[in-house]
Amino acid sequence: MYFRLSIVFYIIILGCSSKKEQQPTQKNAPKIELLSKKNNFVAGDSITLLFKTEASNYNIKLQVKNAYGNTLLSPSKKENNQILFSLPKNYTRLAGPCRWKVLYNKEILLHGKLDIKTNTSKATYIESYFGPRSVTAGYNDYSMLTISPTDFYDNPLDDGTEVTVKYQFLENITELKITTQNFFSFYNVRSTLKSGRILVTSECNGTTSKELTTIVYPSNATNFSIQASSAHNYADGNQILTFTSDVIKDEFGNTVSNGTLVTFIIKNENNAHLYTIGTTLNGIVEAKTLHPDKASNWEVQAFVTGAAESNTIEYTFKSAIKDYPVTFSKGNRNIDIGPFESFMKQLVPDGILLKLDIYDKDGKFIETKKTTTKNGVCTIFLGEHFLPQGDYILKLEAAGISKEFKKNIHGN
Amino acid sequence: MAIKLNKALYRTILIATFIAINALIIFGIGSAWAFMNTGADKTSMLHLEVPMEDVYKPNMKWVNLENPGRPMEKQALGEITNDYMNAWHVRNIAYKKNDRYGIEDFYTDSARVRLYDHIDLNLKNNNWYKRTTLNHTASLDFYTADGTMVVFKDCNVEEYQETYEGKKLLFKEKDTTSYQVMMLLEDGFWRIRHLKEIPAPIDTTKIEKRNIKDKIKKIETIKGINYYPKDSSWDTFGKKFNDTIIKQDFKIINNMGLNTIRIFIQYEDFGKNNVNPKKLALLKKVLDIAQETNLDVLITLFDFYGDYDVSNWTLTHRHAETIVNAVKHHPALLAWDIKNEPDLDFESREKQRVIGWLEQMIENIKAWDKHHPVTIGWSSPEASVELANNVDFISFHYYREPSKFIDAYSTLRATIPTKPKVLQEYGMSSYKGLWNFYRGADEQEQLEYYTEMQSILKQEKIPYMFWTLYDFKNVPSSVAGSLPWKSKKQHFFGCLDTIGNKKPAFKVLSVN
Repeated sequence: MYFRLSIVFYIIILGCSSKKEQQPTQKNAPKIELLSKKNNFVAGDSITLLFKTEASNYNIKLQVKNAYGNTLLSPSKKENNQILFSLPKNYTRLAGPCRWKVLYNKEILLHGKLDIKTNTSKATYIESYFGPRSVTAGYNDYSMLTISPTDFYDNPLDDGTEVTVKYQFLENITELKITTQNFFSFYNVRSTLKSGRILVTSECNGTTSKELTTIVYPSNATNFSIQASSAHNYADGNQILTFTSDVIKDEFGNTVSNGTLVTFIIKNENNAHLYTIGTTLNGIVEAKTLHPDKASNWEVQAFVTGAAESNTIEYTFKSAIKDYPVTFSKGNRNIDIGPFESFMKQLVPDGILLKLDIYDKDGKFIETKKTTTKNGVCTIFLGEHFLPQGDYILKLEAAGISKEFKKNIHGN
Repeated sequence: MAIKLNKALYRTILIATFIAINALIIFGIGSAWAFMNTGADKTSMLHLEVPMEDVYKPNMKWVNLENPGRPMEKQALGEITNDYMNAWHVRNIAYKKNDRYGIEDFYTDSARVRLYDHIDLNLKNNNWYKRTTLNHTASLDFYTADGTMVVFKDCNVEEYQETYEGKKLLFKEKDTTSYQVMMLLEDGFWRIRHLKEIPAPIDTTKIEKRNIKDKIKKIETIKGINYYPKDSSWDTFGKKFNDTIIKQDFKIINNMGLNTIRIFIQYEDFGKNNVNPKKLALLKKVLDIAQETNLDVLITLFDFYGDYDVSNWTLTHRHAETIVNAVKHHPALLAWDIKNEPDLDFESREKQRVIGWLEQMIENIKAWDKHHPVTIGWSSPEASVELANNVDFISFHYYREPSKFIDAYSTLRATIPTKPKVLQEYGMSSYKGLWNFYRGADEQEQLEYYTEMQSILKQEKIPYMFWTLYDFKNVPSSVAGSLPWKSKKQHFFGCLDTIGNKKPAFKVLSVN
C-alpha cells in the first residue's frame, strides 16, 4: 500500500515539477515584435532593428552573426516600449546573410535573417593575379589571369559580373569580355610563337586593374653548328683554342635565352674525352680550351643537354717541338734536357711536361720522375742515395718525343 | 672526559659544516650550470612548423576536386586543408580570448581587419565565444594554374557555439552553415581572402536508418557484470593484458549464467585523438573472446576523461570515431556507453558543459554506428533522467541501501516510462576492517545484500550488471584516491577473492 501511495505521490510531485519548469517561460517570456520591415540591404547601408516590447524587458539583447563572427548587442535606444538595435559597421558592410537572435534570459525570443547585397554602385576594386610570370614560346604553355573584383567594402562581386580583359603582344591588342563565377573570373593567356612580353590588364565596372606581365621565353634550342679557331695549330701547350657556334634558335626562330649552357665534348686520338663549357649570348656560345703539348687529332661536338646538338668538327695539331738535346754530367747523375725550341726556334713556354722512366740493366722498372720546363730547360739529378752505382736504362719523354739511353751511373 | 667529548663534538661540527658548505657550493655551481643550459631548444632556430594536429581535428572531407584550373595535387591539398583548419582554429581561439594572436598567419590583410573589428567589438561589449566546428564537407571550385589561389565551397559546416557575457554562459547554439572560401598562398601560408556564407546545397546523401531493435531486446534481458581482470584493475588493455586470463574469467562469467559484460576504454590509454592500433587490436581480441564465450559486451568510452571543453571536442570526436568504426561490426558488441558517471563532473566542470559534450557525442555515435544503442552510465537513478530523450536506454548505478532501491527505481520508471532501464552498476564491498572502524559489511552481509537485491531485480525484471567479479589487489589512486580509508573499500567488491576463491555471494549471483 505504502509502495503504491509513494508511486502516486512521486508522479504528482514529478508532474508538478515538470510544470514548474515550463511555467516560467510561458509566464515570463516577454512579448516582442519586430517592427522593422526591411530585410534587404546593400552593404554599407545603416541597419537598425526596431522591436516593440514592454518597458520591463529592456535588458533584451541581440546576437548578430555573419560569416566572420558573432557579437552580442545591447539596445542603442529604449523608449516608448520600443527598443532599437543598430548593427555595427562590420556587420552592415559585409555582404551575405546576417542572422540575428533576440535573447532574453538565455532564451531566444525571435530570430531572423537580413540579406545584405554587394554594393556595386559606390566603387569597384580589382585584385588581379597573373601567373606563372614566364612561359615558353610555342603551343602548349599559358599564363592564367585571375581577376577578383570587390565592391567598396571588399565584398566579392556577385557571380555573373562582366569583366573586360585586354592583352597586348607586339602590335596586337586583344580585348574580350568574361564573367565572374565563384568570386572571380579567369582567362588563360596563351603563349605566343615569338618570344617577348605579354602585357595584360582588366577592367570591371569602370575600374581598371594594374598592368601585369608575363615573359614569353624562347623554347628549347634546336640543332646548331660550331667552328673552332686559333692563332696557329701547333701543339705548343700554350695557345688558346676557341669554339664558337652560329646563332642557336628554337623551333620558332627565336634566339635561345642568354645563358643557355652549351657543353663541348672533345675526343682525342686515344679516345680520351675532354670537355669545356660556355653560355650563350645573343644566341652565340663561345668556349675556350688550351692547345695540347703534342701532336693530336681532336673531334669536337657541342650539346645543349636534353635539347640539341651540333655538328662534329675535327681539329689537328702539328707538333711544335721537333727535338731536344740531352746532356749527362757528374757521373751521368745530372741530366740536363733542353733547350726546347718551338716552331720558330723560340723557347717553349714554361710548363712542358717531361717524364723520365728509370729501369735497371735487365729492364726492370725502378722509378718515374717528372718535371716541367722552365725557361726552356729542365734538369733531373739522380742522387747517390737514390740510385746506387751501376748500369741503367733511362727513357725520356717530352712533347710526344721519346729518347732512350743506356748509362753507367757512378760517382756522387 | 668532558674535554674529550667536547673535542669530538667540535670536530664533528667542523667536518659537518665543511661538508655542508661544499655541498652548497657544488649545488650552487650545478644550479648555475643548469640555468645556463636552459632556454630555447636549439632546433627552434630552424623555425620548424609546429604540428597543429593535437588541437583541432574536425571531420573534414573533400567531395570534389575537379576544377577547370589545375589538377589538385595531394601535397597542396594537404597544406590547404591544414591551413584552412588552422584558420578556423585561430579564429575560435581569438573569439574565446578576444585576442588577435595567430590571425595574421591565416587571414590576408583585408580579411584580418574584419576579424579584428569583431574582436574589438566583443572586447568592448564584454562578450566572448567558445566555438568549434564538427564537420566540414569541402568541394573544390578552382585552383589556379600557378597554384597560388584556391576557391572552394565548405558545405554544411556544423558549428557549435557558446555565448558568454563576462563569466556567464548566456546560451549555446548549434547550426549548420555553408561557406564559399577563397584562399591565397602567401609566404608559404594559405590564407583566407574571402569568406562568404552561401545557401546550403540540397543534401542528397541517403542516410541509413538506425536499426537497434534486436539489441534493445537483448538489453532488456541483461544479466551482467562490470569486468576488470583481477590483476589489471582499471587497466584492462594495459601491459598486463593476457588473453588466457580473460578467457578463463569470461568462462567463469558464462558459467554463472550471465550474458553480458561491461568493459571500459580509457581516453588517454587509447591514445586520445590518435587511437593506438595496438590497443584496438586488444579490444578486438576481448570482443572475440566474449563472442566465443557467448557474452555480449557493453563498451564504456571516455573513462578517465574529464575535460569536456569545447576547444577539444573535435579531438574526442576523432577518438570515438576511430574506436566505433573499428568494432561496430563485431557480433559481440551490444551497445555504447559514452561515459561513466559524468554527473559527478557537473560541479567541477559545469553541468551545461558536460551535457553539451554528451549531447553531441550521442549524436555522433548514433551517426557512425546505426546498429548499436547508446547510453550514459549515470551514477544514480536521479541523475539518469538527464538526456533521457537522447539515449536509447537508461543506465544508472546504485550503491545505496537495497531497501530504498525500489522507490528510486519507481520514480525513474514513472519519469521515463518508455525506455529500457539498466541497473548498470551496483554492489557491496565486503571490507570490514581498521580503516572503516569495522563498520562495513563482511562477506556474509555482502551475501545478504545481494540476496535482497537479486530478488528485487528478479521480481521487477530489471536488467542488471553488478560490480564486480574479483576483489582487487591494486586499485589505482586515480579511482578512489590514495588514502586507505577511502580506497580500501574498492578492493573488496568482488564475488571472487583475489586468488579466485568463491565468496558467499557468488552463489546468489550465479543464475544457473
